[in-house]
Amino acid sequence: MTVDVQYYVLLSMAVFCIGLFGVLTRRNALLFLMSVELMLNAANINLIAFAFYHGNLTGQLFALFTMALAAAEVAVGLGIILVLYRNFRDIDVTVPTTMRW
Amino acid sequence: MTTGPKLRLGKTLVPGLLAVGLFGVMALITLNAAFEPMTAAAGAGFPDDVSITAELGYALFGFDELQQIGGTEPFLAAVLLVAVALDAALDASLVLAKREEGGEPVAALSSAGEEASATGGPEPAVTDGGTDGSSAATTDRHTDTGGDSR
Repeated sequence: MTVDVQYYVLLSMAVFCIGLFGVLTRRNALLFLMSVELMLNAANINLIAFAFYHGNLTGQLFALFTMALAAAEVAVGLGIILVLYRNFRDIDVTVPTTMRW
Repeated sequence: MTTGPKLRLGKTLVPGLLAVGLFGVMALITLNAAFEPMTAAAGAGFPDDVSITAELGYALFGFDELQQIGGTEPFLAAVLLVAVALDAALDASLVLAKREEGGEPVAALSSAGEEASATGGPEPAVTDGGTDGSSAATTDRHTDTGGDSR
């Protein structure tokens, strides 16, 4: 027995909205990064569920590439957080305001 | 100052209502959408006698003639592009991890080596809190707390 596809979509929406909740309410840069990862992985759930739904492997492969890009994003994001801490002694995202318009 | 992932409650959670509302709307749409049941008759799923992992590998490197599940595009160019992107990300993280000591850039992967062990071990990394200039363990080497002067 397989789970119907709308429940996978519902799960991915829940994960995406948890990530969005984190981005909207948190100020710690590390929690920001984690929330963005949740939003990215919500897209992966959809890609894999619909790959199975259509009997096609392209979605699974695309999810692999999304994971690779997420890894690249984390590498750069952690570097930025490192510099943020070095310059401001803090990783609160509301502290650096010089690039705010 | 943020010293840890402290959970902030209260008024800061108000923008989060937007996310909760979005989930409500999207869930309503999904549950009312007409999806076909996930059955083999409707075209879902993969054949039992085919290795999915092998199929993924063939598609990644563009071995079309070896594939048994049809309709998968070759992804060789994308693999190469992602390899370059990951390489660039590694370089970017190394550049971002570089710090300055006395106007000289110090790479994150450099080692003080024997010189440091002779003078009492390496200095604490700036990201570990640094030496703050007040530590008695500082040597005659330049020990600022890192960071650009603002």
